[in-house]
Amino acid sequence: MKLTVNGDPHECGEGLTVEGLLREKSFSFPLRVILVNRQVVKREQVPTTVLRDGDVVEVIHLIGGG
Amino acid sequence: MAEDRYARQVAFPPIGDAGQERLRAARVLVAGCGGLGAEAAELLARAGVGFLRLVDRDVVEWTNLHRTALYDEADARARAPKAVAAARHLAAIDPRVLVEPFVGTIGPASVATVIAGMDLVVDGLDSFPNRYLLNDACVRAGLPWIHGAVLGAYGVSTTIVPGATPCLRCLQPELPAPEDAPTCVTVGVLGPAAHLTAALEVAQALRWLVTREVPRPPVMVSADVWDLTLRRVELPPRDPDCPCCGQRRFEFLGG
Repeated sequence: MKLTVNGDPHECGEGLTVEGLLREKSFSFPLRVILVNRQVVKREQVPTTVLRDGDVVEVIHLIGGG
Repeated sequence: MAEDRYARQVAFPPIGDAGQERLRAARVLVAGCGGLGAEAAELLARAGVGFLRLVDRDVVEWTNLHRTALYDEADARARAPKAVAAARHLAAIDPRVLVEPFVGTIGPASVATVIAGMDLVVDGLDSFPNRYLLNDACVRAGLPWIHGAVLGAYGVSTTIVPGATPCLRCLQPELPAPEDAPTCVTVGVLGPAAHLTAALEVAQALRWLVTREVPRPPVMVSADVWDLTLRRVELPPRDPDCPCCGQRRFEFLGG
């Protein structure tokens, strides 16, 4: 199935969870705000939220520096 | 001529003469005067924001100079308090901007006083606990703030208008654990990332001060100056169950 992740097309298998996607893509920092179709995926929902064809995923790092 | 100082900014139609007058009348707190805050303070002063309160508890150190255009070696040698050094440099840039430096900590006891009388807060803080505290204080006071943070080559920013846009805790309800929060000391930070993030914050600050328009939809912008990616991410509406702006439990204010 086809996702859009941070604006780029991303091909993946059926049944992929948000946690699986985060494993497939390597992100720099541990904390992230994850939006699927403009809805926040809460931390406890990351392992169980299954992505569907056409989903638009945005991953924003949550960072503390200044 | 000094009176021509804002000519190129006034010529920008969304600002104009009326917008410039609003900037002159505005009072802005810059919370933290490091890589983000010092740059934000300079851009706000140069834009003609009439009153700036600068808060920072630290002194200028040699490790700051790679990313702070406002400070110099003399500040680092003297270990000058950042808020005082920043105020001195801003006075040389434009003495008509009133700058009030405050050398101290933003804590649960002091935050209400620090934000009192301000129209807007610009985030130059350097930790999650301080940002959760500021989020609580601003939501409680109904005071808009511009969140910005930077780490490595990466920066993020968003405008938070209490009651109208998601607050920090709508996006991340729980304070991140220290082991999940790398810092500029542990993973580094680039000057271009700090300056770009500060510029994004100040652009949002100027827009808010001139227009008072709530961003619809709310937007977070992220930038990576190493990969050269800039993302505009539309955020969801406020979370009605948010512990802070939904339930109005201000846990970081100490009760």
